[in-house]
Amino acid sequence: MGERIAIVDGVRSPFCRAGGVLKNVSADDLGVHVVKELLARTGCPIHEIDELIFGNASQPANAANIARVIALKSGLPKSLSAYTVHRNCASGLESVTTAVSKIRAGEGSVYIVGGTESMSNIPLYFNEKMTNLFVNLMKAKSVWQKLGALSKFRFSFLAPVIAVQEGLTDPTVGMNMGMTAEVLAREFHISREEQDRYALRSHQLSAIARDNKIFAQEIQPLPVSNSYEVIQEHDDGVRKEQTLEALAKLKPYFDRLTGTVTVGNACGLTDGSCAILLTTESKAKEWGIKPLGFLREYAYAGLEPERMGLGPVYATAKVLDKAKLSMKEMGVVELNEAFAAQVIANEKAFDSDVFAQKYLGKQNKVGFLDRDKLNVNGGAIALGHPVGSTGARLIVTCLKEMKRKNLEFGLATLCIGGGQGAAIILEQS
Amino acid sequence: MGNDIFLGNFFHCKKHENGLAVLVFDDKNEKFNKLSKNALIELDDFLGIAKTKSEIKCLLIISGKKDSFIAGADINEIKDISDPQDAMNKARQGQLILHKISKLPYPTVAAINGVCLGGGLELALACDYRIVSDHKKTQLGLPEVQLGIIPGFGGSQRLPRLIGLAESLPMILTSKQLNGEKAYKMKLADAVVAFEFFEEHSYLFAEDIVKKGKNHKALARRKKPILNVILDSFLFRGVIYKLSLKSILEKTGGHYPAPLAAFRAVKEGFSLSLEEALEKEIQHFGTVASGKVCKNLIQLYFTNEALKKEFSDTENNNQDSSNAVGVLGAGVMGGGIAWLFSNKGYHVRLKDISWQAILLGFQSCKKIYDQLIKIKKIKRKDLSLYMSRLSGTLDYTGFANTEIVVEAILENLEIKKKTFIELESHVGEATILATNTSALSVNEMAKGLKNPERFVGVHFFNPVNRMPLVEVIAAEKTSEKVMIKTVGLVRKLGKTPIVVKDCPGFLVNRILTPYVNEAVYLLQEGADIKIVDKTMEAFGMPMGPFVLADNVGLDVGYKVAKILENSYGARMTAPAFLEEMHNKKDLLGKKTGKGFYLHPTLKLNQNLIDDLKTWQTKNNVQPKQIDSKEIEVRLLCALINEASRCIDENVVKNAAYLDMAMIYGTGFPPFRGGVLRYADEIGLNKVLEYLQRFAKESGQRYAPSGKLLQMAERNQTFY
Repeated sequence: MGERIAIVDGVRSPFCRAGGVLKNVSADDLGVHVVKELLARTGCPIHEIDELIFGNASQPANAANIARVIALKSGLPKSLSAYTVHRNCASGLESVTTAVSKIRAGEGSVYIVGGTESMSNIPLYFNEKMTNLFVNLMKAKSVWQKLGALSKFRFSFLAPVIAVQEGLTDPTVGMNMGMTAEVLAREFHISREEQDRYALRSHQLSAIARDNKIFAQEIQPLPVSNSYEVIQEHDDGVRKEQTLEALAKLKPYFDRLTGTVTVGNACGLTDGSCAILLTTESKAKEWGIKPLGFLREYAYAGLEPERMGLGPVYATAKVLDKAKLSMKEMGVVELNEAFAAQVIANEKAFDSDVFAQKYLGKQNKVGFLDRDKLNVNGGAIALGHPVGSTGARLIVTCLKEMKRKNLEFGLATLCIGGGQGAAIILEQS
Repeated sequence: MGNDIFLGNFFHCKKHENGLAVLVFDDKNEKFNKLSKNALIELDDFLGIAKTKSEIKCLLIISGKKDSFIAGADINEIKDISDPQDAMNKARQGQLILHKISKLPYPTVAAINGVCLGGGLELALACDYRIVSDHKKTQLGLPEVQLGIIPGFGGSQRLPRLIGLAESLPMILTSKQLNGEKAYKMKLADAVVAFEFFEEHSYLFAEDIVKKGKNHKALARRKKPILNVILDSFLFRGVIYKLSLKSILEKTGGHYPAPLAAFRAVKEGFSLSLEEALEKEIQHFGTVASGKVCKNLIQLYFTNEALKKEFSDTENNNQDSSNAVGVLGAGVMGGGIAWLFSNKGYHVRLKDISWQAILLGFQSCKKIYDQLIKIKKIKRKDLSLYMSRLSGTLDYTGFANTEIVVEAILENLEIKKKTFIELESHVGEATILATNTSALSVNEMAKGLKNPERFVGVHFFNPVNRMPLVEVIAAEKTSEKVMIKTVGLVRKLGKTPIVVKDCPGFLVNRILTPYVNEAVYLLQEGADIKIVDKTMEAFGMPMGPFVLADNVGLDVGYKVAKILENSYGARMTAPAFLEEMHNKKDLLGKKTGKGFYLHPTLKLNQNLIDDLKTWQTKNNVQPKQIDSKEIEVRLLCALINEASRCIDENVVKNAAYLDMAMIYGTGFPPFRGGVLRYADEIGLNKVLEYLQRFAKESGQRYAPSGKLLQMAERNQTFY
């Protein structure tokens, strides 16, 4: 495959619950914040950058091709091209792997990648009936025509469509993400208590990581617009005082009758961004910078949308084959915590020969997923999941953990709404 | 000959098809066209010939310059006006010649692309039609009052008749300018076209006039809407006049005769026939054009032009800038400087010792943008474009490729020196390191740097967004290249840089300190705070010394005063009562709500006055009444005395620049011409007399400077 791809460094914003502290910060401003910091920290020579590729799922209307808006607002030259990628929950990862493909194809050698999401700013929009009324009103020329258009109005037209809800619902199977987690909870026989325990683990480990200043290494504090009276330094979804009792009190959110998935054992809607500088090993040497790590291999896989949560096991099977490595060699694993049920389902699937034979066309299981290696600094249940950014964030968190523990290989993997999985193997020399 | 009707040094006129003749004004010796005496004489010759040419159906007047029409009259000629009669003769000559344009036997069209001011607009007004471009340089206006005169070539009479009183008075009295689009909307222009297509459209317009004559839609368009007719009628004229007069008196405090004269010219002429009205204009022009204020304002104009040429980048050394800058210290000044750079498109890296401190800088910057949004200079939705140019840091990341780093941290020499040494290891070779210190030595700070050639002082004034002056100070080893780059950068930011020597207080604070000290001495002797402030405001200062001190901050002021006392010795001794005030930790002026005044009510601080009485008793001072005249002279002499020392020591290049700095930096009244201009006006012998008396009566600090003694002896003047 040619030269090794170096991940020079990565920076992220604090991740905060949607509708909270960062609600007035637009997705593009979140992106600008991390891109500028990345450039400052790495001292990357600006004129050597080939392109900026950013992931974003909600695609705000006032920042079409948000990557380009971010590039220009960050002070990068007008001559630098930029575009936005979308692979749902793995959009941040997609930006990385797209750049990797370009580097391997000889298209360029220096890329700024990452992702941004402001779920606070995902709009409510007028439903089809109200929209039609507006269109007809605008088309109407005479006063009579206008009155005619208005007369069709009914109060029910005002019921808004909640775009974030729409976005989190798979249109091909009519299920939202939470419901797919319920499917896995049933298939893999995962109890409510197991899920709550896993959720508690996420909060506890994140709280410890935060106290040990582990996240401080990744986060660039953000002066919060519009009043700049607050400096946001930490992720605010982490609950140090979380308890099993508190989690147990919550009612199931997606399946009110017989479900087990609650807002407590699921990741929350979050605002956040992350930027990564990608180049070749030789370029990094030329700059005299020791990279954070290297990208060994990546893979995407497809599966039924109803079981999208199993994306990681499908994609990991593929990437291990591609890289000719095994799960044993992975020193640390970042598996995105969309839902506790989904993480546990993956643990079971990873460790099952039967599953591998039935669904992956393999004789042997993918490999035991050791809890001592899995999401050791917590995950999205505590930190949140800004859809466009998480993929990039996992890479940064994984590499920094590998560096701290001096590990050679690491795995970052996500499930993807719509029925996909993404997996990436990272390495350190 | 063929198609040439006229060929001169300034004008040439060619015949075109369809009866069109095109007169091109192009003064080959100057960058801009001016209606100088010689140009007017030649125009007169042309008009004599032109009126006989019966084959001409329309005359189109255009400029041969790329992006300008006519910039005005020749200011040098106005400068030389010696007396009212001379003034009236000059005005009459110009008026008559332009009037001949309006008397030509065929329609005339002025095609305006670029600057069209003063006499230029008056020429255009004498034409029958005007077509303008939408170029951003296209500005139509009558800026004569800024030079202390009034429009003298017919502008004060033709403009109101064309666009009405309500719109013309602001243009004549406050030199408000209109761009192409506004000029068209006001019906000052009959058509507006895209500047890239200007020439061909001007020709088409003129040809259209030939075809349609009086039926041209432009004339119909000029019919005044009912509202304007009512406003200009006898009934409402009075109201407009009253409001205008009130506004003039408020803005000028009665110190500037030109707006009043212009007002009277408009008012008295509006109801007369045009010929009679033009005569009124000449009379009022005569009352101001040879006066002292006019001479002072014209001097300032020339000083400003000379200043613009100092340290200019003639070799065009500035290649593409990185457009990234750094600011150390996110206090009020740091935040303001961050605003200044971000407003002009620079990305600013703001460093301080804590995130809370950095937030304050962001807040200061945002506050200024909020003000701009309020007055509609920028749109609210564009705010993030500006604010996203700021980023904060606790360390030096992001400083590597900056064009310049401005330091605005604590006023402590050791800390600043250490900071610069630290900073130097984090920036590139080309980065200019600049300090915003107001009282410490720039040269001292440069010591210890590996590359002191790139070290410079840039002293901004508070508040950064509103104060135009920036003192630029070279250290011993600062290179010429860096000075040129820095001065150029300050200009790019929209400020006026004046290069001064590295002495304590530089120029403005050095001169201002004895002035403010003197105000406190007066207080100690028994003067009344309000009387002192009102006296200086009546003199023309934007605010009196005590209001100024409260605004600057009594802690800041005290610190500067002590530094200057240490550096200059006895003459800058801070008054004892100032020490008393300083000991009361919360008496800081506006920022703590109490100083000489209470803020924001601006009532006198009774506690302070009581303390003063106590102090006077304790120190056996018998308070006496001091009248306004005495107050004014004592304070001005304090300014003049120190200013003379600055000239002697070459702190600034010359007296004119010193005066400019005082006007821009402290608001010293422009109509007085400046501190040293005023000194010349009083007469240096008289100044000396005052100083010697004060030295005897009030204190040795008043002892006249060696420079003043020398100049008085030799009968010299500063100008």
